[in-house]
Amino acid sequence: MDPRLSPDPTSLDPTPGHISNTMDTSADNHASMDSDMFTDSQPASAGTPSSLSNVNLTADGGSNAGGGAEGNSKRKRFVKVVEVDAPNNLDLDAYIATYKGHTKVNRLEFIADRCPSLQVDALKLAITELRNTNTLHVSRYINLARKLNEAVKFGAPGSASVSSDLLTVDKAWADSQMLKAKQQTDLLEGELKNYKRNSIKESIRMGNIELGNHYYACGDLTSAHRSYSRTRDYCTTSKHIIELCMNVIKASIELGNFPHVLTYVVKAESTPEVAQDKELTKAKLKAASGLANLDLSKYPAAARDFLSIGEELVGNQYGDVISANDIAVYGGLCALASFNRTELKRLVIDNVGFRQYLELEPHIRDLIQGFYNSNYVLCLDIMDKWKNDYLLDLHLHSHIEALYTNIRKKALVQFTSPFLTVDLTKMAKSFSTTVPALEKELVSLIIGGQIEARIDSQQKILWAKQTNKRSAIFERSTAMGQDYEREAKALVLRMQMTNHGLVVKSPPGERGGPNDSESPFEGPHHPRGGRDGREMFAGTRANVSSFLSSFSRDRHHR
Amino acid sequence: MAPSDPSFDEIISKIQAATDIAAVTKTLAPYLNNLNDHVFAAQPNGQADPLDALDPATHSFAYLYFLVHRCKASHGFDHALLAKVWAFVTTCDGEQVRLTSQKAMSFAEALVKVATETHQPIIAIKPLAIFIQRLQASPGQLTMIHPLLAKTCLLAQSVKEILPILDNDISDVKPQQTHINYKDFLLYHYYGGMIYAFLKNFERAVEFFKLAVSAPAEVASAIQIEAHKKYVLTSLLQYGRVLPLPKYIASAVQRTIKVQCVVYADFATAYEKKSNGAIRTELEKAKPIFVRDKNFGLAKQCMEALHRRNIQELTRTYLTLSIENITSLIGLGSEPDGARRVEGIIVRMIESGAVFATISHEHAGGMVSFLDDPNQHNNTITMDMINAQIQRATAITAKLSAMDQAISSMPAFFNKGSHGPDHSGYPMDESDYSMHMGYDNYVDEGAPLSAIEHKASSSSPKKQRTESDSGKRGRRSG
Repeated sequence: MDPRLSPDPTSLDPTPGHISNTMDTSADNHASMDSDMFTDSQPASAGTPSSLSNVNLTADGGSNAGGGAEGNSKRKRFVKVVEVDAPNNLDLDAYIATYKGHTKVNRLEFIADRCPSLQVDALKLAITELRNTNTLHVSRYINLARKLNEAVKFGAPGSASVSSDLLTVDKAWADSQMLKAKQQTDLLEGELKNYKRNSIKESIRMGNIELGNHYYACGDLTSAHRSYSRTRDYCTTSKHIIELCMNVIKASIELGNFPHVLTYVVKAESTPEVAQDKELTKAKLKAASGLANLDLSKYPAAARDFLSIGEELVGNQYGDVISANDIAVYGGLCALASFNRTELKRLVIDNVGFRQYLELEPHIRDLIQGFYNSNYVLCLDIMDKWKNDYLLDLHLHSHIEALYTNIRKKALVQFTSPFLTVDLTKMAKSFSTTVPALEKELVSLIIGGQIEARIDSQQKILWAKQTNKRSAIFERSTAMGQDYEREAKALVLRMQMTNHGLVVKSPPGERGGPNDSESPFEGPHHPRGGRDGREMFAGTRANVSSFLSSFSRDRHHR
Repeated sequence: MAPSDPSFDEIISKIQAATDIAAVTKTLAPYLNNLNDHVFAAQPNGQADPLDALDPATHSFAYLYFLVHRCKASHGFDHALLAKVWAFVTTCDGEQVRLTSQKAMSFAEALVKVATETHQPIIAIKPLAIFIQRLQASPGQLTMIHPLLAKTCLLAQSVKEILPILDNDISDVKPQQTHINYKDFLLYHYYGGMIYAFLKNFERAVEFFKLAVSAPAEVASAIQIEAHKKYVLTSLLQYGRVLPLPKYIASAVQRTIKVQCVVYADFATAYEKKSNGAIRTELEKAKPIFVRDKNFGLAKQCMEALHRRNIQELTRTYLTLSIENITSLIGLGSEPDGARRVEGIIVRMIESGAVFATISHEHAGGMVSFLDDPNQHNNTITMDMINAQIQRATAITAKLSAMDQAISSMPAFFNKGSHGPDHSGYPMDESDYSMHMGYDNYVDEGAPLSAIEHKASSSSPKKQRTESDSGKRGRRSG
């Protein structure tokens, strides 16, 4: 039952760039875009736009485990491609039917790369999808066909059922599609130039959007993003701004530029709403920002976003980005990993809108209920069963480990909280683990301050710690008093020293000024006189003032 | 003896004529300063020995002139002279001696020289310790003798005499009284820190090194750099991390430290992460430099302190733990004899009160039970301690406020305030206003403003400020 998780260097994600020598420029574009996605997401996570600082702050405050896991999950995405033997519950056809547009193919390709047993099926579906939608993204079609050929050559499961028309690259069709794309690009660019010459705002905006849509269809996401962004200067109504934001968000999500997504979500949310589709737009924005926060490993924020989507997206209305099932899974797992019991009850279980999504994924509902009712065996069982499926999810895969660890920690904390003593052997049983392993987990939790307890390793018992708050306060106040005294003394001394000119200076020869007069009978208040002396006074006085006020502030706030 | 030189009798009569401090300053000091050195160094030759004729208590000023030269001239152990020295340091008048601190310094140096020659440093240490106390105008005053005494004690490894002096924090520096310069301040705290480190009183050592490092400076002094190196190591020893230096540390010093103490910073970073392996490799890497700086001993002590610190961490997580487990948990598992060493460390820690635990050998290998701190803070000792601390804190706060008032009423400060409102270091902001109200009234940046405005508008330079403030709150005129 256990998944075979092997870091396999040979199965490293083959980017479309591998075959770019046979392909035109758009293949290169795709390749560079993919690498962009990886390089971009790293520094960008540090430099989240300032307008979002609120969101970030709450996220940081809410989860301390999330922050630690971030580095891990990011690295994992570069180094280790987790290969999944077989999904436990995944029905590929049903799963993929909830998506449309680019994400459908992206997800299929992702599954094909990760899961050998589904490789052929996924590729078949992806190629059919591309052919059926008459895609202009020809390089992608050729690339997928090539992959399918390779898979069949190596005899991947299901190879026998592959029909030959899927295997052979339809050269004529591909050429015609490419030509079509090229003509369309030229046409749109020409039109746009024309509009610009006439400087009709609305036409320029429409022209840019059309060009962006076209680039998007061709898979040239960076150009699409650029075109969409250019409409910003021509937006006149709030409807236009919403349109701009949605377009940019769409392109950015696919580019993996999630900090950008957050910026535009905020921009769109702060725009006065237009009447039509108001709720739907809101829900889409929430979903987008949830995805972005998930990608940035800000699980509490992501959970809040997903939970506040409302019931607007139940029918997969946002299928080109996220399905209703995804909302249930992402939201449920993030919530479990970041909320405490009361929050879980208030925000998840009593959440009418979110319940609709949970109906789509009953096991997540069971998981949350089980967690809330402290039925950890059930929870861990469900989590284990579905792990492989989640590893095959385009957005969730790199966060699964971190989320699972967080949930497990939460469960351990929750398990121990009501008891004064806990028998480790019994506890190990309900977490289906061994005593030494459990002990290790508990130690890390105790050191992290999440459990207030101590372990009797001789009798294997966990004892809740009786903290004597009175003693603690006494100790803290004496320590603080000492600090205060010491700092104040040092300050007084320092003021005296500056007042009396006891300042380290370079040897007089180098300075060439006779200002180092240190005659023992000098007047006390004018050690050096002139401007220098005055500045020194000001400096010391500022020191004293800030010291006193900051210390008093500390006293008020502690 | 040259014919122009006065005889001892003349000098003595002159000296005895100057009875009060004013006379000493006005007439005696110039007179004695004009005399040649060899007058004082001359042998009595039948006349009365000035050291016998003069009283060290009433004529301390002049007595010192003779005593210095006697000490300088003396070689080897001279019982009679030492008796004179002793009589002088125990009875001399600090006020008179301070008038000629140069001579006092020479006297101290001469005494140290005698002590080193006879390999009996106590000859110098004890008199100097007493001399310092006579010399100080106030108990916490730094004198020029301080660094010399500290150095002598350190070299002699005899610290009993200086400890009372070291324990009394320096709170008073007056170069015009004691003829000190910044070097004395730095050296005294550097040596003092080393003495405390020698006694393994690392808390005080850290404090002393910190004072040296954070002393006001225009350029960094080599003493400060060395002090910082030791500061890093002692701080790691005492607290397991490098305590942040005060904000007011001179930027020149900070820059130099960054460049000069890279190895120490690396070692500290590794140490703070508490991973045995990383610390050890870092220590190996830094060893040549530590040895060069003569800090390797401290670094080695850091390694031992690491084990203690790790064991202390374990008390937070475990109630009972076998010695075997402790050994592996603190990373000594791979070493032969690790368990025995660990047991030794724990026993010493229990003895010193660092952990509260019992070791039982009922089970194979031994089992350690960690207990809680038995001090419940419900006794009079705690009460007294807190009270004393509150009193000290109030006293120092009052002193600070007084200093603040004094500075703010100085003409120099006042002038600056009136013609430089756009200066970046302009110190009058909200917190200053609240100072005048007593800082306990401090609530929030903006809250007491109206009251403060009212109060502050009585003085003209502030008025200008407050007006602009009430006009547009939040935009700082500075």
